[in-house]
Amino acid sequence: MKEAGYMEGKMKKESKRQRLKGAGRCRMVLCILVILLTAGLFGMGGCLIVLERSGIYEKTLQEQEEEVCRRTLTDNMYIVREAFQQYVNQNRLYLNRATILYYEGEIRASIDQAADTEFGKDVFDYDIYCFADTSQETELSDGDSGNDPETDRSGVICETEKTDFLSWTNFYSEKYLFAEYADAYVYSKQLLEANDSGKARIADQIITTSQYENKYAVDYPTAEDFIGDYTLTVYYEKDYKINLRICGRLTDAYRTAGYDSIGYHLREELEYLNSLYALRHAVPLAAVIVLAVWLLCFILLMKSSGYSSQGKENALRRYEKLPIEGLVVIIGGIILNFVCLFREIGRHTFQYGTNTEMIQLVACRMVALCGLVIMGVFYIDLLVGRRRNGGGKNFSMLAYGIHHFLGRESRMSKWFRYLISKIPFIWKAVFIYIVYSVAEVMVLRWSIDVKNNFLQVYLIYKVCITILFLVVTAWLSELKNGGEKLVEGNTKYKINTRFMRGAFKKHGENLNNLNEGMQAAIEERMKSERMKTELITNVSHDIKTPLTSIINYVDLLQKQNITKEPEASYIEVLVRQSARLKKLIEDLVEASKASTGSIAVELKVMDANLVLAQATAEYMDRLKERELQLVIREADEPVWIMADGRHLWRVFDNLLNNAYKYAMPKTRVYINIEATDEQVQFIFKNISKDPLNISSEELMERFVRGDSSRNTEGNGLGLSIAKSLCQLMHAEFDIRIDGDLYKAVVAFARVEEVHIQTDASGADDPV
Amino acid sequence: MYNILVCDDEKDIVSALRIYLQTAGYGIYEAYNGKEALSQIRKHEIHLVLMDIMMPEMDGITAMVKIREETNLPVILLTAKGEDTDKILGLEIGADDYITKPFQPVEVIARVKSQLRRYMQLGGGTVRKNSMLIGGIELDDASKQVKVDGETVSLTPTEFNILRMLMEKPGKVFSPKEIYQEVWKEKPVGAEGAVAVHIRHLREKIEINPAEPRYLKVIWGRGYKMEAE
Repeated sequence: MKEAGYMEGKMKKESKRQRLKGAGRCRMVLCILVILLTAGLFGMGGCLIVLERSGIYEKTLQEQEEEVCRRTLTDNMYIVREAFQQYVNQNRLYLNRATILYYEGEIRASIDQAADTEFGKDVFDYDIYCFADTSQETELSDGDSGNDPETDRSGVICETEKTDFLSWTNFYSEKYLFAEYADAYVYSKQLLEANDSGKARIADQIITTSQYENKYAVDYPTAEDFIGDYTLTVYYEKDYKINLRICGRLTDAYRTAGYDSIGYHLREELEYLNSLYALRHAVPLAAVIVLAVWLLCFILLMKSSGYSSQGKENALRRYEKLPIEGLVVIIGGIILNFVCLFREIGRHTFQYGTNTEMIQLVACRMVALCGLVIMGVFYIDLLVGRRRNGGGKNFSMLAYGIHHFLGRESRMSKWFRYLISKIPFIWKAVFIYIVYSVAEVMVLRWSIDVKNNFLQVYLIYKVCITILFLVVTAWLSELKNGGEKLVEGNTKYKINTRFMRGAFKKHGENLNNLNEGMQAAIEERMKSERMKTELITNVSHDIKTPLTSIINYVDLLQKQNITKEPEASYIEVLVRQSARLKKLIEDLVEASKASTGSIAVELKVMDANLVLAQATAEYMDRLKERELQLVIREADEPVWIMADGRHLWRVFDNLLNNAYKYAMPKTRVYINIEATDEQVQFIFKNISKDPLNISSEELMERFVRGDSSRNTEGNGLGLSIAKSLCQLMHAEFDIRIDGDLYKAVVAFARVEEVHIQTDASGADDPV
Repeated sequence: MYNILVCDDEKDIVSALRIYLQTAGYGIYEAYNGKEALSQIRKHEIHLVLMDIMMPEMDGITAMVKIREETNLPVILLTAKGEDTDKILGLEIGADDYITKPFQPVEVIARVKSQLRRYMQLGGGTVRKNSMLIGGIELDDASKQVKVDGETVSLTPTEFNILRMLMEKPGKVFSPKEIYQEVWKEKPVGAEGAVAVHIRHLREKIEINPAEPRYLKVIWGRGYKMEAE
């Protein structure tokens, strides 16, 4: 047997070792997984941040393209303005108005210029072209206008406010033609030489239709407005590929402004953003899944921490044996370094002008955070492993110190708790109330400072108080329930004291103990009751059986009609004594039943006068035998009592029998019914044959008879039985002895008359 | 001659009863527990069973049930006084009568006679008109005669009238006032005493044991009734 147990133990140990080994190997895999997943998570996070910040996250592709272009244009418009400004300054132009148009990838700016010439005021148009697509470039200097005005969509759009073309034409003396179509203006190309008064070349033929006009035109009344305006709204229709170039003479100006073409980078950037955008729904979903897997790995890692790959249980590497404080310092240092690094990055790219820069910044931050999290995970893993295998001094000096000096089992704590328990409950309650009031005042004071957030603060405070209130109410309710159940006698109910504290808990425990005590007492009592009843039943049966035989055989003897002395007298003695024994046993059983209350009592309303009449009728003849005169005085009116007929008859039976046995012959026996408003009394009076030098209490004791010589018949149980029966019926039974006068009083509470139905439902009350 | 089965686990009681019953002229069979009682009934012709309740092997009640499954024999149970529940239970399941221990032999004989008479009568005699039969008490209004278990009992006219009144409505409780009014045909003043006395005398005449009446019962505080059986 022992061997089997030993083998079992060994096998268990072996399998545990195997399990631990398995756990240890898993750890490597888990660690790698965690690192990868964290990187993935942060990568995805970074993508999402970039998308969000680039401002294109939630819009449609078109919208985002527009947005990009708009921003790009806005960002780059200052180049145009700068160039423009320079041009204006160089050429001393007087500008009336400027219009920036954007059409099919081009930004056009046109300026109306009025100049003072020798001919008067000249109005000119200056157009500045910014081509988006190099293939569409049109050189201004060529002077070719080969485009068909009606079909050429790639032409230049221009706008003017001039209403009278003809007057224009006239200005330029046939070298300049204007034609006005139904909804278009046509200018002929004309090349003029620039002269000192500042005439510049005029645009090629341009065609416009009003639809474009409304869509793409932004008007600036004067050049100053244009230059000063930094918000510009342009629209973009076709292609998001942007290439800024300002041509013509302005090209020089452009170059001098010092800006190179930036189109290229923008294009690449936008492609990247666009691919991200396509994934914008997939990324969050993927992130959630990865997060879930990461959590799983994390949990598994925690579960297996502390086990090395060799399967040893308490395998702590040397560094793991350091107390926590040491580990905190080391790892904290590493983390701190990371934090500084990332702040540095932040500082350098405080303002990111382009998306590229923004992306770079976000990437840096994600990397830093990722590193942080991985370090954090491993640190926690260390902690858990240590907790599992270590504990005690090695785990943390601080924790150990606290535990030792202030923990639950520490001496100081015990002493403190002892002190607290000695303080009466009232003081504790008062103290708590004071603390609460002070806290309330402080909260109010603070909230005045906080001003606008007062309501939030107050709400928080109120919530705390409410929780406390509810908890205490719950405790009180539980105690109240427990108390009620106890009163009802429901012994199964146990107060749940697990969530209670302090005085409440003690109270609950006390009630539970009381409950247990009660239960035990009740069971004890019931057991003894059961024993008593069984005793009475068994004893009575066991005694009656031989007694029956005795009586039978004695009777048989009697029937033999033996007249010979002394046999005849012996037989007589046997007869008498066996009869007496029989009576004694019957009375004894009845007495014990009556006194333990194991008799059924059915109380009914009955007429007192009638009961007495019925009872006395039974004894009429017998009393006459002894020449005892019965004097009955009934109540004047019908009086009613609540009694059990059978038992009451028994009581009267006893009393009348006593009168029959012990009253002096040839005297009177008085029986009166006296009724007051509350009570009905049956009073039996007679003169005793023998002197009664005994108190009434003694007489009512069992086996006590008036005749101290115990010569007469009777066993002394009659009055005791009568008294017990009266008690069962809630009636009073009293004996008064005054010299030879013997008086018995049976008193019932008087009840109202109730209509009695005398029908077949009459109960069976044997005489 | 009638045969009686005496069943009790106490041998002395059985032999005592044997002596009484044989003296009274009955044939006797003996059994000491319920099982034996059943086998005796099956083996011999028995007209009445006297059975104790508390017996080993099979107690009186169980045996009663089994007997009733097979026959309609009159069964008188012997009970110790105070075993009320057993008594009631026994009567409920078909016992005809009960005798409490310790018993008077005279009472035993009287009850046996009563039950036998009734059992035999059931087979034979018709009930005459104007005649009331309750248990063993037969009242013939025409001839103003009352027979208890076949034996005529002499009653005073008052007693007869009271008995008839009670027997007309068995089970109904009559108050002394009602009885007085009916029988005396006078206003019931001081009725209780007179009626009670007459009832007492009546009981002594028709009951085997007036102290424990089977038929004429006192309902204390209410009146009297004739038990319906």
